Amino acid sequence: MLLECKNLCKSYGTKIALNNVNLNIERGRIIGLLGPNGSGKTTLIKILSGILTASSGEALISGNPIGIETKKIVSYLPERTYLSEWMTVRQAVNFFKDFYDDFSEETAYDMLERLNISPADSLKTMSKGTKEKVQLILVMSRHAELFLLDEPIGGVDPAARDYILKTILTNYNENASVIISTHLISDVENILDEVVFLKYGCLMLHKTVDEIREENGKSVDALFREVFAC
Amino acid sequence: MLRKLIKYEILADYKKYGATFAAMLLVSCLLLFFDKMTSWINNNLFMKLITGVLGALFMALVVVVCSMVMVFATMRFYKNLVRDEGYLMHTLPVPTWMLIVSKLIAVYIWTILVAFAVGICSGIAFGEPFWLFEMIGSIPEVITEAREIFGDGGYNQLRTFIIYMGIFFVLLPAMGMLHIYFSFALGNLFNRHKLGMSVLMFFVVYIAEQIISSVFMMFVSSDIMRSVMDSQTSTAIPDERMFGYMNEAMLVSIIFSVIFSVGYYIAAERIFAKKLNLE
Repeated sequence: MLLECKNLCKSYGTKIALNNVNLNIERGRIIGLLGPNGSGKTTLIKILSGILTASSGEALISGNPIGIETKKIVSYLPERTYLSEWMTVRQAVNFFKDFYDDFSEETAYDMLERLNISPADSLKTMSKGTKEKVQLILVMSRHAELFLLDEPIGGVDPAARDYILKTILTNYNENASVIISTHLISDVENILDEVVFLKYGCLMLHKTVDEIREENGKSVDALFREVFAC
Repeated sequence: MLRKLIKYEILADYKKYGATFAAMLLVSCLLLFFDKMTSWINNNLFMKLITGVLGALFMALVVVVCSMVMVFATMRFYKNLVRDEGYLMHTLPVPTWMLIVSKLIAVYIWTILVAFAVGICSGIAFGEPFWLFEMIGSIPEVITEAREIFGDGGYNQLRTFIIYMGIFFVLLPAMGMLHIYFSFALGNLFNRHKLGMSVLMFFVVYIAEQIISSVFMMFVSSDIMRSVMDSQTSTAIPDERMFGYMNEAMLVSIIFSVIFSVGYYIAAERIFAKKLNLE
């Protein structure tokens, strides 16, 4: 088992963001983490990446509790821009190369070239969308075991969206899993193996996409609209 | 990993420091040039005016350069560990203590470089480029004179005082920065207005530190206080005793600084490691 969440809870004061989440993820899967705003998707991803500490419960990645050992094998893409503005793209690549043993410089430069992003460009002068592309390239250039992607296609144009999804598909190996949190279900539906629905911090559903289609006779997007109808 | 973190700390700010050092060097060279010109062209009001303006500008730059280490280090810590960049830094496979220590070491590196830059530029500006080396060279002479003035006992106390002062000044950047880091760590615990709460925590911690120091000082060094009070009314106390009292007070200050700094460091490290709460 790659990821095990046992009775995971997170609260901010009186507000409960995650409520007793139990979730197991195997290797070699692409999982859609879906839910309306405030359902706890980002909170769950932040806990798994080590940005937040759970109020109670336990999360294990490759059998290790969240810490330095899990950070070595988890590649995390947050929904915000986290690269330092003083850096050039080349310096950002060097930064990842310096700190992550599983980072492939060659893969990163290859993807940058395909997206016409010059390594000499300064991050300060880049548009938000281009910065997000650079971040995704850096994150996907790692041979990590678990990729946590929080809204990876939210801020980019549809053409780049296709490229990003193709990148995700081609850059993870059978030993790794990818968890994608997004609202754009129809865009990612074709690449997903499993879906996890979260509502008010509770895990509502965890099924394979095939099971949803067979049992419910619906697409993931249609089921989402039905389950989370306002 | 620590070395790599320090490398990126230096890379992040070297352009800003470089530009300020270059500006200070330029103004110091201009000041030297106009000062020489003024002495060649007697009573030229325009030259005197330019020299005066450049002198004021140089002094302002020195003040800016001296205070910028703390300002830049505070901004860097906030942006890099508490704001958006923290999403990258806190997911690096490095322990939290390394993130804090690397920033602290960078503060020391910049402090040393700033001290050198100010020393060299001051030498150029005032036409004494080697004053720093001359001052170091004159230390043996100063020691001999001090020994003659204060006697062997007084000199030994003075030497201890200077060593304590040195230790205190070495600790000073760590004390200041760890207080700020601890305040940011406390601010991080709040779910809203983290920056505002960090500023508030800075003052709360400062006031608490002053109260604790004052209370301890009253008990621990009551002898020193009494002696100083006595010296106001009685005849002048001997140099040896006076330096002895000053040394005791200095030692107590150093001990307090170390205790508070270690406390701030441990608390900040624990909070960022166990209670990290990025927005």
